[in-house]
Amino acid sequence: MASCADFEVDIEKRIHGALGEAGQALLEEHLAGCETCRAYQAAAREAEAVMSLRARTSAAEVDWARVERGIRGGVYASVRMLVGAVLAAAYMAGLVWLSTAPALREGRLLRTLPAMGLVVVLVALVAAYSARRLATLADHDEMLETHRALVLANVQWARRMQWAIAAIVAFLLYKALGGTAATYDPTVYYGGLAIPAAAAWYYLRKVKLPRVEREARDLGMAPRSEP
Amino acid sequence: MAARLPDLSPDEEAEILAGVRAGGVARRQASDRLFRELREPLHALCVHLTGRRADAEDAVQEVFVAVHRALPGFRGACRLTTWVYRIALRAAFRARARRQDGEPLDPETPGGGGEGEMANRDEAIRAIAALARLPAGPRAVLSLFAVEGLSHREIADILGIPEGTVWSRLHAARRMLIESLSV
Repeated sequence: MASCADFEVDIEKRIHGALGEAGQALLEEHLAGCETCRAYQAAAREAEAVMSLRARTSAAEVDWARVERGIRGGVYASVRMLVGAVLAAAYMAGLVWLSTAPALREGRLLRTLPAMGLVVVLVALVAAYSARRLATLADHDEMLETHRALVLANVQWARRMQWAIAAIVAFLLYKALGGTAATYDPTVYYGGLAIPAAAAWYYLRKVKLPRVEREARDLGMAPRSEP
Repeated sequence: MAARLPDLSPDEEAEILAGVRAGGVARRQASDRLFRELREPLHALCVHLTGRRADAEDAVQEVFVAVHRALPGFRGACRLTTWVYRIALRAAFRARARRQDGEPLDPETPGGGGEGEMANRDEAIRAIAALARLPAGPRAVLSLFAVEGLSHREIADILGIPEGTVWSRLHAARRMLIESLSV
């Protein structure tokens, strides 16, 4: 004997054109005597009508040329990130230049070159991956479960990174305020490095982490609170 | 015209993929074609999932940027349109998460019209707010079914679940929506 829940599933099938004739006849018979299922049918049809109307009116008002411009801008975002990486390397070079006595600048700049190159390579790798991230595992298993796993990994990564970057900022400030060096001024060098590191920490703590936690909550996960 | 799933046959999808892999002008043409075919149904989906038109536009942009980058490496484990819809779901979830809790939904309401339609508009606002209160999973199922032209088989493919499960998920989501409406 079919229950009201079974007939409610049939109502959904009928609304979406997937209920056969025999099923329709049974459903009609049930609806004639069941007020609860009639109310469900009315609510389902009304919700479908509202959503369908909203989709039509929203799409009609979209400025597709603007969206296309945004897509083109997004396609070239990795170029902007690379430019940013080169600027970051130039910033490091500037700090070395400013913090070092004139006679020693060239030698110290040469020794810093590998670190600058590493910054550029790391940013290039991030830039190459970032735009594809949405497509990661998009053809894999149950979509929502895969997405949940990725979001949870993001939450954990962001939580760990905020502490790692906080530790780096603390180290840089310690070196800036208490360090001594014969060939350069640690206050300028480490203080200058601490500024972008602190900005990265602030972004992670106040923007990135709350965002991924909101996404996790929306997906029905309640990531364990931080102590 | 309602947003409809494009009738891209497997051969047409293969043409698009070949164009993308050829590079140069062919890639640009293939990407443009995919954009024209999918933009409206994807926008319709994202409007329901994010609750705001501006967020939906951002999500659509992100989808096509990701598709442009990742398409050459698409392995063909599912249909191209299925793959793009999956990316759209994720982009929409992300776009919604960028919004602070409590930020208002779209001020505009579907239907328009004069005073006589005020009651209908109020109902529409209530329905949209109720949908926005649902968790991502039920919202995704309801939103996919609201995209005209998507069959339950295609929705099952997009979500990566058996066909029979799609109906039980839709029923559970509808029940949640009705409860949310009564709040």
